[in-house]
Amino acid sequence: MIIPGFLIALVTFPGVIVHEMAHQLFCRWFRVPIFDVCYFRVGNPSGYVIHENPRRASQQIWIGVGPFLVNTVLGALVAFPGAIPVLKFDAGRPLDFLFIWLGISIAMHAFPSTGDAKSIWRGVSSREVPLLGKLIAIPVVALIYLGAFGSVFWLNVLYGAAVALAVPKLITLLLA
Amino acid sequence: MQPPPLACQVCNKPAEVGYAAQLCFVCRTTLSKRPFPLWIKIAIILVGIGFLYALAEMPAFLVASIAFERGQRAEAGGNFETAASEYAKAVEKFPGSTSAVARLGIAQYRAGNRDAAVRTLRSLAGRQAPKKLTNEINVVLAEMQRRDPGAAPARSNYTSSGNFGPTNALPLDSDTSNTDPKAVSTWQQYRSPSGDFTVLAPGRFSEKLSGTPSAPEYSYECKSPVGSFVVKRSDFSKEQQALLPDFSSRAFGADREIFFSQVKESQIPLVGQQVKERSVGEGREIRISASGGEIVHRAYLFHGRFYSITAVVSASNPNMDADASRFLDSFRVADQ
Repeated sequence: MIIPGFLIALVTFPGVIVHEMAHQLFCRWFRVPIFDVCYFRVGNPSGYVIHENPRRASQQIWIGVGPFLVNTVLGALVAFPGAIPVLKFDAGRPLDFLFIWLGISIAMHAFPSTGDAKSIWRGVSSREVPLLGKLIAIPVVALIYLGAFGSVFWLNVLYGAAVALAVPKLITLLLA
Repeated sequence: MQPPPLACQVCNKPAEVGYAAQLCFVCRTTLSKRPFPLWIKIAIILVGIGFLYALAEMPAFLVASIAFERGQRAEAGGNFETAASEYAKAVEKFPGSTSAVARLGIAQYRAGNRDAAVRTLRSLAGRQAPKKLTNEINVVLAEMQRRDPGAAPARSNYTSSGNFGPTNALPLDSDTSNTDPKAVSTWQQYRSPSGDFTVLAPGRFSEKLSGTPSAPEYSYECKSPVGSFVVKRSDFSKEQQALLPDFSSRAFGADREIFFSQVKESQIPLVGQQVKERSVGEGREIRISASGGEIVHRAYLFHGRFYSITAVVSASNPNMDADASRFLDSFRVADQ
């Protein structure tokens, strides 16, 4: 089933905001000036951060993959308190459902956009990155591309649900 | 002679060298530390407060979740007392959880604590539950009512409109509707001609005698649309048992071998099969689950009478697990 992207972005807008904040956060850490930020809008892209081309390729890669790390960790963390009552005990309160919605929304926007993927690829393919670095980075970039394009097939939603809901299950299984 | 440094595009001070944008140190730092808007900060604070509130309850939730998981493991291993005690911890935190309360009731019943099971299962009256769980509870309630009609919660006490068991003992509404009521309603109790055992089955049994006069073998088979159900009994005299000091373990071992060889010979499609073996009370159980269905086999040795009971259910039967359990759990040996 194909649902317009703007509609998905609208329903899961907290994820878009966190995604752009993650870009901004990594720019801040690498002292890369930011010229414009849009945290959310109804359009394509649904959010963006315009920043200077970083001096180092590694910085460009980190700024590109930043949302993948931040959204994944934050999505799992936010959904965690709600996941156990809702999934395990069918006894969720409104607050639990709110956290699950937030967690899935945040985690499903972990995958970098196609624009981010291009930017990461520019960084990886630059001469500055040694061969070993390229060998490690290329599969990661391929995965990110897959994620970026896979949103058409609900891959981002599946990833968001897996991160937000499977992590508590996994922790329980490990501790039991 | 060196060229003069480029001017910062914002403040005209000398720009830092080696960057794409012409910016001085101060302007670069300021632009990189662009503040987050106030509405985002407020949203983060609000979500943070809610999160901290929810987080305060997390340890208790986690303990309940771990207890439930341990209960399931204990139940799967046939350790129903431990299962009941673990489920009780989960129910203490989540008394509204139908699955936790149901599992507690079932485990209490299997552990022999019938009064507690009745109390627990009664508290489920009128609740919605998944079909599989409903069927499982129905099996327990049917057993309870058969053994002690006054003790089990009767369906007529509740506002049920879902599936019906043969004993009208259903306190739950099933949230699915694809159960074939005909298949359910034809279940009836069967008593062997010699009265040595009783069992619930969805049809009539055909009886066969084989073996030798000194070691007779009785076979009872019920073939129905929901599956095939077999009870076999082999009798061993005291002398025969005395011949082997470890007669019991040898008997179970031989039965196991015969069972697996019969499964192999039967050519039943068992793609991606999983085999689980466990103790069930004083008996043994072998469960073969596959994409095509399930074969569950139990063996008991009782006063020289060796019983092997087998349920073969197809995956096309939506109540596959429940039907197999219903047959196997209802098997009772009369003390003769």
